[in-house]
Amino acid sequence: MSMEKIVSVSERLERLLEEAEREVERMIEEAKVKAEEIVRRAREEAENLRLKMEQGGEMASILEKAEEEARREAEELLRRYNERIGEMKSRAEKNIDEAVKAVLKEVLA
Amino acid sequence: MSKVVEADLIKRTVERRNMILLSGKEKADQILKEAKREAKRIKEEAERRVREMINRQLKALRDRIIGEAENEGRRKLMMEREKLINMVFEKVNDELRKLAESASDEYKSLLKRLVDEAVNAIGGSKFVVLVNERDVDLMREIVKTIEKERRKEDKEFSIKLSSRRIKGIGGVVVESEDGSKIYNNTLEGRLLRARNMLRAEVGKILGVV
Repeated sequence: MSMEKIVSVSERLERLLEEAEREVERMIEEAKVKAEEIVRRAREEAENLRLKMEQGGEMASILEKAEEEARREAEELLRRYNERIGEMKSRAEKNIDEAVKAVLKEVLA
Repeated sequence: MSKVVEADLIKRTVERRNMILLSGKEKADQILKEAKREAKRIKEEAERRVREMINRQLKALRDRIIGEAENEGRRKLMMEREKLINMVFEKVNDELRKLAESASDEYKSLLKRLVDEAVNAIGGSKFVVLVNERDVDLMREIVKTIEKERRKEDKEFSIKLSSRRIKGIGGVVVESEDGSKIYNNTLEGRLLRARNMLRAEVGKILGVV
């Protein structure tokens, strides 16, 4: 085998490895670009979500719904208070003479 | 170079090339995997912040509306409770007025007890008693009776009906002769003391506390 042939095989193999190295660099570079794009899109989506909630009608609609619900609860709460007041009044009416007697007893004692 | 050596060199080089490519692919995959993980974290964080913002606003809204209703309910309940308790004392006031206006023996006896109590509380021998215009005649009699009773034990004892008049439904104000000690035993005064003392008790009897 001639010297030329030996050099030629070695060079070709060397080139093969160099090409592989370059291919790896290209793959990594491509992955980095894709990665940056993935993260950029995620940030954009996050920002859009925030803006949508803050400026869009969605937040207003959620709050409106919650306000309606809270008002219903508040009405129910007041209705229960009025019920308690009614019960308290009828209890007091039954016992008022006894209370008057107790105070009179103290005043006149 | 022999053919065997050459083939071995080619084989090892190809293997090395494959290793380099495989390692590169793994690195690239790792970069993408981390980017996807970071993107997921960013989105989750954004969603969490939005959820927190919504929850904060919902809580503030709910606290305001329910809180106002709760306060209004409590205020109404307290006002009604006060009204009911006050009603008792107003009724007692009416009863006392009726008693005082009746000028009955019961009232006369009450007036005498009120004077006795005041005299005992002030201490000493000389007193002045004040009543309202309506009770003047009743008190003239009572003063005489008390003087008579007390002089049995204290010859110095004297109690005079003042020309000054008090306002109100009845009862007495007794002063030591020099005016240094005053005992308010009017019906209003006694009712006021009873009001302070019995307010909670009245609430309990009424069943409103």
